[in-house]
Amino acid sequence: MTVPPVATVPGERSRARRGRRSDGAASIGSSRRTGYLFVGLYVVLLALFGIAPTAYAIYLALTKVGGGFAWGANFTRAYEDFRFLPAFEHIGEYLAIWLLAEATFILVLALMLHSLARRTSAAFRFLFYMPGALAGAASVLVWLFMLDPTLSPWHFLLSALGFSQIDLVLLPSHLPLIFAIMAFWTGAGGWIVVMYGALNNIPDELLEAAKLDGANAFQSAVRIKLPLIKKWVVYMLILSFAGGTQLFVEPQLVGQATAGLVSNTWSPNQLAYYIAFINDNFNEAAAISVTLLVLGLVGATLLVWRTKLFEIN
Amino acid sequence: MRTVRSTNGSNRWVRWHRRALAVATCASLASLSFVAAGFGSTGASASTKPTLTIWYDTARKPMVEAYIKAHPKVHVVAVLKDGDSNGDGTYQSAFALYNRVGHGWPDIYFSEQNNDAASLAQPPFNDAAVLNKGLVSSSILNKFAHGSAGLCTIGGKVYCLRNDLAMNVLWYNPALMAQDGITSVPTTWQEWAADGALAAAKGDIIGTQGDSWDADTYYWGNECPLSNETSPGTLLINPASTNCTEMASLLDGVSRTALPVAYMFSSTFGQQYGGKIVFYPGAAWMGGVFPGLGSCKTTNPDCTMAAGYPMTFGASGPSVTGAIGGGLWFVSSHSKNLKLAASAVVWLDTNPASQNISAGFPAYGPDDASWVATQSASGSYASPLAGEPTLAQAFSKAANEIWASWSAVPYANDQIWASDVVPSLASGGTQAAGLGIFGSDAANLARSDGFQVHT
Amino acid sequence: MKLSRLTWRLVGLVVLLGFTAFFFVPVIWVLLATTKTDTQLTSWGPFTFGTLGHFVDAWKALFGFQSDAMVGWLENSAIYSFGGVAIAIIAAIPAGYGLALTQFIGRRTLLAITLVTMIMPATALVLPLFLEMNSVSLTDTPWSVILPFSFFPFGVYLCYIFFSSTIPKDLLAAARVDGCNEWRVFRYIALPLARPVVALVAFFAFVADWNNYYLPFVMLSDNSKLPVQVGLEYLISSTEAFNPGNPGTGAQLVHRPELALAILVAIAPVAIVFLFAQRTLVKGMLAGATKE
Repeated sequence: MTVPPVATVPGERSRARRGRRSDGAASIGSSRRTGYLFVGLYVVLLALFGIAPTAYAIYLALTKVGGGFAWGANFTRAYEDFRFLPAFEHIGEYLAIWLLAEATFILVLALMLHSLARRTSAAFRFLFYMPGALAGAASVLVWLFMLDPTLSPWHFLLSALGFSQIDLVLLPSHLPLIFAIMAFWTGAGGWIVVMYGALNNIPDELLEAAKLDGANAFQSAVRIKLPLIKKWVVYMLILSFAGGTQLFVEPQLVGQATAGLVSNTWSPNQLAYYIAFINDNFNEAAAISVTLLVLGLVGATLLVWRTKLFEIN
Repeated sequence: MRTVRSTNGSNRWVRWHRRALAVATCASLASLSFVAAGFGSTGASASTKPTLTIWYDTARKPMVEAYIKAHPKVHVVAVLKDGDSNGDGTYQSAFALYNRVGHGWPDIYFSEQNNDAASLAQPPFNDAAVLNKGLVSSSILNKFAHGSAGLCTIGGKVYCLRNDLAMNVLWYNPALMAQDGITSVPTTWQEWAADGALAAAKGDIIGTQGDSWDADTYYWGNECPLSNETSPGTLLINPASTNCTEMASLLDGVSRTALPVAYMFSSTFGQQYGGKIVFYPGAAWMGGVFPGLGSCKTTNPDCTMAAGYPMTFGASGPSVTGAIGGGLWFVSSHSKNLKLAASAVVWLDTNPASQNISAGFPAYGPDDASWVATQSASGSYASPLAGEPTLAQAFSKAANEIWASWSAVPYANDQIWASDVVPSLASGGTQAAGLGIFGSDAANLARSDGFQVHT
Repeated sequence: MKLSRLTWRLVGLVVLLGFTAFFFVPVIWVLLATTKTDTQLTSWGPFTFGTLGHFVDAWKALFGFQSDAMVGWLENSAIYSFGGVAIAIIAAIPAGYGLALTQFIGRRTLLAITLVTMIMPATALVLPLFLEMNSVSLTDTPWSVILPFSFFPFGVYLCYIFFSSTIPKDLLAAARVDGCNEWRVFRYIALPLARPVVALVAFFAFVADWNNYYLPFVMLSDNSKLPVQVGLEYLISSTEAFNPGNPGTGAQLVHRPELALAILVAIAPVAIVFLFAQRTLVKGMLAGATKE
């Protein structure tokens, strides 16, 4: 069977398409085989650096320190640890604030940027993104100055709230909000870039058609743009939820840089780290990690199922 | 299939794609050559010189350099680490991994974290080597300040050598004393507390509270049992003991203007209190910090302070003092050359060439005099008042008074104090309440680390 | 409540400027901090400018730290990041395409497993990764860092979502019906349209690799192999303001302006890469593709 020439000009392609079957049934077999080829290298990396370590960690969670199955023993020991429940309380408060901020502010900002001229929005995106380039220690250092009432550019805000020194800013009841702000500051820029890119892939004709139909900016955003970037938003929520439960860097480094004002077992992930490396008990630590994994998966499963993220339409 | 005749966009893409691929390949090849170079250099000359791997922190660099200079016959691999500072468990993380693969430990290492001896000497890490059973002679061990080995000793075995001691003395400012109308340097905590009123009247302070070192300064210094290993595996944590409660009430009785909740290394301490510190019960190494606080350098040359003997609680109270820090040298039991490692640690810890440039007061007695002489000559210290001890006398006495029953435990007491008690103090809570908080949290942590805790 | 368009625009402007201040003011602070001395940092106002002389001092002190360690750290970071990105791209782009636009058994399982491994806390993976690398004697080599870096499931998902929601299915189906095999469809149709997501994935992979502290910290013990993030940690522990327990002699220690400068130097490559990547991210590639 001769293979007809393939035109690569998209317009030409569409013209040629008219009148042909569009199910492509003949190539499903080869599609399947090449499907494997496409994902081949990634699957190798996934097996080596994703599946194997994860499986080992789960194995650790189910076994005793010296070997031999322990089933739920590591889990119960972890749950009975006096720091376990407080850590999850902390992370719960943190998540509530963090997810709310992620879901709303990032979308609002991305939508706003999308309505601006290209150069202006590029400038804003750069400004929003720069904090994301400050990783870990760097961002904590910056925030220690931002939170110090006497040094901070925001001192008028902090004084208005009655905080005269950094000890009062870092009181335990404030920590979930503070860490949420810090995590938002470093993380939002990246997601804004992603959402902006997603919005940019919406065909202009759709938006113009909506405008012609009388939709204002708000309606266009809610009825057209948001539904079309739904998959990206779901992805962001899944990762934010899972990532949020695993908060580690901010509390750990703020604690180190303030000589211990924040406990090094404030978050569940910190507790897992402590038990793993200070107590050399990788099994119990793995139990906590698996708990966090299950939490993240529950969130992910709900989202994936409700939004049919895995379907190709 | 016809060859691609595409639009400009596609052409540009193809070219860009090829270029990107080329760059990526180059980067990968570059990494490969780096790896090759790495293997090359490590596999190179099989030296006949014995190798010694030292993990040091920035402040110890001059000492390590001195060692290298004095020992040309040793191949030293010096690796910069963070000294396990602030209890972040650098060494524990590393050893947890090395213990599982059987290689990677250094020969000797330096730690700023006081409780590392308890942590690294015992299960599960089992790394610190026993030094007093042959590796280091008892004649050397006996010359260290009395009680200084407390943090290194578990069950009669000494697992580390103290590099420097951070014993607490009473820093006093002669100029400010005169200004405030305080006629003599207090010898008891009660006198010190009473002086608080005079100091506050002139806007000066007699110390601080509410940082991670409260327990080390005030409670350790009065034999308050908050961290006493009475027998291996059993801890005594009793915040209700009189030694603890009497100190707490004393502190609570001092106004917060004279004894503010503040941290010496916070960003604002210098501005707020520089040049206003008339007394400060604190570590030996703090002496050099005072003259540099805030505006001291330019407007108030009288910021230098002198060291007085540690105070007692009441005239008949125990003559002990606490300590804030002080470094430890370890020999790894996994070292392939224990004798060399031990001799290196001894050299670093006792040889004047090393200790004279050390940051803190040498724990090894014979080195004290010359270290203090260098310090005194630096101009960072005030001249003592008549009848008061010299720097050397104050330091020596304090060094030998460190209460040895305050044991090293695998968890960090000051971390607990900082995260649990300090917020309470900062919000207006009392020291008495703080003791209770510390007591229960420390007991909980000790139990989860496997200790039996009793009061 | 109906507000005039102008009011909404003003509100929008205020919101935008507010967030800009929130995000960027601290960065300005860091910039200005490098021009002051340590004392000036704490005694002067946050928006004051020091002198260029102090900046030069900070530069010299930073790059002189530990016998010019900073340059080596930067080189290492570059090698690890570029190596990791290269392999990650080669793996992730086709994988995302395959997951989105081809059918094969296990497609959904693969997606699910990818998600699971992304959600697994990294602290739990440290030990097994270390053991894995040790078993092939790769610990303390650049490969112990580059290879794990090249596993980038976040990028695979980005590609998956992109390919599944942006490429018109008709285009591909038609090409297949015309007899194009999958490779040609990928190479000549999907890939040209995928430029924005390639840039996106490369960018995020680069930043993730450049900013990764924990993996190099665990894998590398030789000082000469450290990347700049781990080096930054050592700088912090050598800064008296953050680690006063045992202050050393003044010459050895690091001060906060040098730390601020180190932060700037450490993020400069990311900023530069971002500027370059932005150009490709902006273009909406489907502008012409769906015209009939």
